[in-house]
Amino acid sequence: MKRISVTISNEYGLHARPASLLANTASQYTSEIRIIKEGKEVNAKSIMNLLLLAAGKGTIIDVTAEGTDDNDALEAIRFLIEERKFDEK
Amino acid sequence: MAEELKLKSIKVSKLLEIDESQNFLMGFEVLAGGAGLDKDITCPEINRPGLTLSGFMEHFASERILVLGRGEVAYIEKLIADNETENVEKFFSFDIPVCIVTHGQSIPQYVMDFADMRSIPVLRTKLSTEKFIALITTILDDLFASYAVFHGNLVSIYNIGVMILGSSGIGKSESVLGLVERGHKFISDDMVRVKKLRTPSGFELKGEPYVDYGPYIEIRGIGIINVSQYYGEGRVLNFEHMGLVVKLVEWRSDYNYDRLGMEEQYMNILGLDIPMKEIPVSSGRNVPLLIEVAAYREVMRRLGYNSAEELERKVINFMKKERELE
Repeated sequence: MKRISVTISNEYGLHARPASLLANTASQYTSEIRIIKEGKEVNAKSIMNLLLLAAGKGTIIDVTAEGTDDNDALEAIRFLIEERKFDEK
Repeated sequence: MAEELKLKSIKVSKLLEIDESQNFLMGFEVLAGGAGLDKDITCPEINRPGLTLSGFMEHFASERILVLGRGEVAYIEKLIADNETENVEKFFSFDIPVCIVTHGQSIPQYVMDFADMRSIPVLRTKLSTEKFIALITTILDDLFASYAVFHGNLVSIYNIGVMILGSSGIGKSESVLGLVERGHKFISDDMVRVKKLRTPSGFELKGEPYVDYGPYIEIRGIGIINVSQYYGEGRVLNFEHMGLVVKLVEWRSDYNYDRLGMEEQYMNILGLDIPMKEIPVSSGRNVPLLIEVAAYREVMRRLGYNSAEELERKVINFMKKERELE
């Protein structure tokens, strides 16, 4: 199992649109991907799960992946959250 | 996009058929000129030929349906009594598609003879002129409206016309059957005509069967079913105002379907945008249920509700509060 930490850095955090982007990105990989915030652990492929986290700006989340494409999945998610900032401000 | 089509003409006899289909609301009788019932009506407008009968022939729109009300008939009778029939003769020398006499009036034999000679059909309606004009205008607007034809099915769900599109064999007809079973109303299987009609507030789209043989539906493996026989006449409608297009597509794991429902997609039909939902089909998904929910969502959207936006507001508020606490 691979694990990385990323910081949510867009203004409105992990709200509906980013959650949908994240779930769609995660769904492109076969690995089991999970997001952990302060002990709460959810499935990254489920929008409703992601919204439950209520991860606002500045929150540090852990992303874990287990499967054949785990490295690619983690890199894609890191890129989406930290570099693209969900295409938001 | 489907091609915009328009009816160029209708036969005079079509008016009789429409009258029959409306339970003789207009009560047409053919008084004269029966030989001209296959004449073409090319113009969805009516004309009252008062000016023409009084001798002013300029700008006479003879291609329109001519309505002879009480005034016109009385005037013709007066002209005949005074032996001044020149204008009546000139009037009938035009290529008139059809003359309609209102108020169930009789017309002079002299006029009937002219109509017979020139094969100009003269119909009589029991309706008053104002009622007849209002009714025939609606009928003609509908007949001559521009339209487009789609390979799809049409159902009325919560009074919203829902057109179901998708490639052959994806389960459009089966979905319709499922929807009828759930209490919704069947309009058309396989071919849908969408008409663009003018309303006081702009335009609207009306969906109806392309060819109206009756409420038949073809189900693979079962055959043809008459929906009104199987489910009752109450489950069949002749038309509905279009409100939603549902596109059934094969499930693809690499395709990003709409998961939130915050952004609306539209399909442009005859220049009007109709909300559209793309629903992926795979085993285990109850497609009639999904289409029903999509229609209900459209009802809620019109009322100003959007569940996704509501949840979004709550999540953002919650995150704001958490940040303020820190």
